[in-house]
Amino acid sequence: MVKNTILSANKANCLFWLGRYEERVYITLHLLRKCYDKMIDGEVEDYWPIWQKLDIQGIYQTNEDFTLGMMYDEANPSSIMAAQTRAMDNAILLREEIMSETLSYLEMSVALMKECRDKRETNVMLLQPVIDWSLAFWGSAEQRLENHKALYLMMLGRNVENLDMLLRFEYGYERIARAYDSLKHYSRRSSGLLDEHIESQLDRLIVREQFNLNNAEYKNKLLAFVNQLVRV
Amino acid sequence: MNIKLTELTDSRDSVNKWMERYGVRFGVYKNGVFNEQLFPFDPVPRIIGKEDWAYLEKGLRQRVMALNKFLWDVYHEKKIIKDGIVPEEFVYSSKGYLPECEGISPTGGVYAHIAGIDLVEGKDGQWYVLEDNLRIPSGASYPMIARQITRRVSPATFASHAIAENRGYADLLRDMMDDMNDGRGISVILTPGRYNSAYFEHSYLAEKTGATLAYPGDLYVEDNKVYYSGIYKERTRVGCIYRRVSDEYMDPLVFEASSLLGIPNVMQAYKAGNVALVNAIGNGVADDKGIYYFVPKMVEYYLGEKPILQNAPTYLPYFKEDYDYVLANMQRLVIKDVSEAGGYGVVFGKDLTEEQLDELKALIIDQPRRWIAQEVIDFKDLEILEDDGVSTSPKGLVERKADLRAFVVSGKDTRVWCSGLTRFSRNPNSFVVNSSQGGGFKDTWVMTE
Repeated sequence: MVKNTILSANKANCLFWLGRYEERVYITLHLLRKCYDKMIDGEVEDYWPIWQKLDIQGIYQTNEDFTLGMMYDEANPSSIMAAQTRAMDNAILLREEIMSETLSYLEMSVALMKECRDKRETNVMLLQPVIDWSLAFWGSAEQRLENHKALYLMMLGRNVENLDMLLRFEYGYERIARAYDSLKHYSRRSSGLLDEHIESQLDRLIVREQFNLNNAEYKNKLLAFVNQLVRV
Repeated sequence: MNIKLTELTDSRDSVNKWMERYGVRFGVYKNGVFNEQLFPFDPVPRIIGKEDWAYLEKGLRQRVMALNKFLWDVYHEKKIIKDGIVPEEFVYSSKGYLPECEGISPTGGVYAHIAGIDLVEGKDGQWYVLEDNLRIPSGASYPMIARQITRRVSPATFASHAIAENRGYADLLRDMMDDMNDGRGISVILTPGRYNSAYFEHSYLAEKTGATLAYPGDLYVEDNKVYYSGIYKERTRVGCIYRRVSDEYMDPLVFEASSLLGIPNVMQAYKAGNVALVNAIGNGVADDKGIYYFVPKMVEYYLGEKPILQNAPTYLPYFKEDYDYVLANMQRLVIKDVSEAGGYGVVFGKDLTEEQLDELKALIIDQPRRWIAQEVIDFKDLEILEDDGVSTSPKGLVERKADLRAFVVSGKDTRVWCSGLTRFSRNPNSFVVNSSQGGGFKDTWVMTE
């Protein structure tokens, strides 16, 4: 059978957003675990400022509400469940590209999260398998995707999300520069995916001399550029 | 046959966990809302002995070869009508007959590339064909993946029994698509999309065959050739479309104008011989429940052979003698509306009240061509593992009605897949096994010794 090497616009879009949402699951869970640690014996003031960076309004009244909301509330676009469901929505359309083995890690995550949600589990550590399966998902994707363009699109999505989240959470220059480098590494492998004009703007802005995420205008400009960088 | 099933039955939960892991589901619309659910799997297999299978294989090949010849004939010379074997009313009044397909010669003369033949085994061991599904038969992916999983969770069972391999279905499909493609380009599986009830199967078969899963909008026709369109408008030629979209939605310029699922002008490309459509358009005329009655006659007419497989005893109210018989014996017959599928439009006379029987009689009198009636076959029950407290067996086994959908793949050759989809009713009082109506499935073992 002649192997198709081109990707439809729809599949390219799904691959990119699968990469973004799956990375968001991973990072959000990572941050929630840090937050959960503070909650054990801390006060709301200790962790609330972190989440304001995700534009979450004060919809959760108690620590338990907040934890449940961040874990399972599908109406909250920043929740892990919302990101995992969106990742799955994209992945399910890509079975023959990413293969059933790769897809199965997301299936297991969704099943576990639903089970924990139904039991109203607030212990974030119960979702450790979601982290493990996310990493297994990426490993499986790298190993199994025969179409390299498809892999690079997913990796671009992953790197865009990583950079977006690092910027929102105001990580330092070294970390941001490294994330941007990683993103460009994948874009170089598949030409034509980045908007060159935006890329040159980001090249100009992500330099040590200019770097200042305390400057809201600078930060918002970076976020806007990062989110418009990939052409899918 | 002495089969130790303990390891399999003990592993049911593991099997279902693996099914969940691989997303083995089917979709159901209820009250307009789409829901996906796991297809309940029963670990106790249907077992078909080597000799029985040899008989079925021969009969299935024969039947599908005759059906392919019938389809060619209907859309070309119509000899079977002219010779009075099949009345023309049954052909031209069939919803599946499409005049737009007249004179089209599909690649290799094959119409029914994938045929799903539904059979049941009577208590006397006699097999009967209940239905021929020649449009878009589904279900092969479930036993494929079930076998993969059961071999993992219960290796000793497979080590100790001589069970024919069934995971080669994808190879059969791939070979057939390659035959039909004839080197013109890539092969695709065209799906209506995620919210189709068989979407899992579409994507799984694409993965296993190496075909591209194409969605509405991915394909277009230019100069009577079909192309798959890429993200930057690059394109690649398509030589074979295994379409899982119904005939009426395939080409909005020829059939249903409002269809967003099809490919405008694909019929032109098909007519020009530039693309193979798997299955061919217009096959519905041969899997019409009314035409079913004539299939054994087709075998004799086209192949000059005695039919190996038997139909269930069937009556056509269209014929006066059958009409009288059906009206007089409705209470003990099963009545089927030829325009329905998926287990719908099937009623058992014994389940109807006097008033309902009268209503049905009136419908038959009004439109005799629309109905067929069959004797209720006392088909063999199969054991299933039930944990709802109904079973009195120490092993938790109960007996339920089950059928077998056998798959026959026709490219250059006609080949029978050495397995099938065994569906069973979970309702102890029901003969309806369709997944859309709550049925489950089990693996089908063909023994090699």
